[in-house]
Amino acid sequence: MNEQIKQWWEHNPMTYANVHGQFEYKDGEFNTGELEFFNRLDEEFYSWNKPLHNIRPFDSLFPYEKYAGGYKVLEIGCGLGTMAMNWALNDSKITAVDLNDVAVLMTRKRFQLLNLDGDIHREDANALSFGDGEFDYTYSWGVLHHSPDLEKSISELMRVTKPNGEFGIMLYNRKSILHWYMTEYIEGFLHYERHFLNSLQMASRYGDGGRQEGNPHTWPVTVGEINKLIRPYSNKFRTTLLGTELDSIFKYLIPGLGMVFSIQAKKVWARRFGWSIWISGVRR
Amino acid sequence: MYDKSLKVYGLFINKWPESFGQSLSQYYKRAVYFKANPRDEEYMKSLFEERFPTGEFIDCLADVEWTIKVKKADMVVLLYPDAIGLGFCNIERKLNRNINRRNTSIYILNGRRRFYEFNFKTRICLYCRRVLERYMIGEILVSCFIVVLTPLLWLWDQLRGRR
Repeated sequence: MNEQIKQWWEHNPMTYANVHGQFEYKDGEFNTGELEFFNRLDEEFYSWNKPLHNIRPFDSLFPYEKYAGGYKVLEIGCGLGTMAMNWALNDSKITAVDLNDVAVLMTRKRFQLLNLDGDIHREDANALSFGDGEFDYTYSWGVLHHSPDLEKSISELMRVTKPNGEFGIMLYNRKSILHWYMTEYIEGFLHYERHFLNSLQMASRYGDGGRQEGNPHTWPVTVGEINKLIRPYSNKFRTTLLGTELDSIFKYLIPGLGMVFSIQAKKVWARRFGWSIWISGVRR
Repeated sequence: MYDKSLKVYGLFINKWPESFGQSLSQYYKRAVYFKANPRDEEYMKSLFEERFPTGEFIDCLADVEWTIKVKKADMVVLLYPDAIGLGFCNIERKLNRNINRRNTSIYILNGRRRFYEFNFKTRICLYCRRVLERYMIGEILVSCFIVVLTPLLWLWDQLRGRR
């Protein structure tokens, strides 16, 4: 399964383009590996998460200032390197790892183009080669729900985080409007897919890459499940629901509903049934 | 694997427009299209040929004599570009009138790559789903619920200091 997952993400990197894994955006196609491409990818990625940025990308979530100036930061599942780049620009000592070689190559290319320092190499999130407590801050954004053994992945992330160091993990939420509506209702019920697929197969088929043929493994979690997984490692953590996707969902729920609803109205639903669970805390 | 000596026809029809305009009704149709996520003709043709290399692919809009051809079929495969065959009602009605169900079996092969029998039960099942999808009945009901509940939840959040 690991090999299947690795291969799939190698052929379908998270480009945030019109079609998952491709390189065409609303304003045209870009050549991979060029600065223009990385800038366009970042622009799209940031736009998907607008409420999470204040002055810097994702600074409402990431404690940039606390870990600037040589602190060791680890990203598990760097993809095409957007977040790792921001940590490098923060003057943190960033280590960015991914299961697949394309992600590693592209992130290294990005760092090279921007003249940034970072340790970027291939790692399996379930068997990290780092020593215990090696990093001051570890994070993983939208990656570990693709791991067939989430418990092991969390355990490894915590193992390499320093005691009293911090962590941040984003996982997909099974009890979200997006999952209930797009996966369970539209595909599962309306499109009769429940007749052919079980819950895990549904979540994988209609998770990332769902408009094409889906991906090998996605299992969104619930807040209850993630709390159980984190508790052995931390007694100072919080889970927040992020619903940055609700704009699009309300647009497709009933055309026009999204336009009528104010941001405040959408927030009411985002904080209860958003697609992303952000878990942040201090390692015991 | 199927018996290659069987006479198999794949019936395809594409009723989805190439692009949508800017009016409210077009916006609505675009939303239906997005959720249906239909495959194109090339994809369906390739899918059919993969499963039935000796079968004959028929575009029902282009080939008006398909009703005559299927009279001699051992198997007819309805090639739904989406999951539930939006736009296929007419084809299914004509098919039922033109074949002998004792000699010809009907199956569905859809854009989600599912293959199953088209019988009375599946027909009813699909028909209900088509109505729900085309007229967004589920969405309308949920939206009413959302519109009513939102101010109450907003007030509750304000009282708890969550902004």
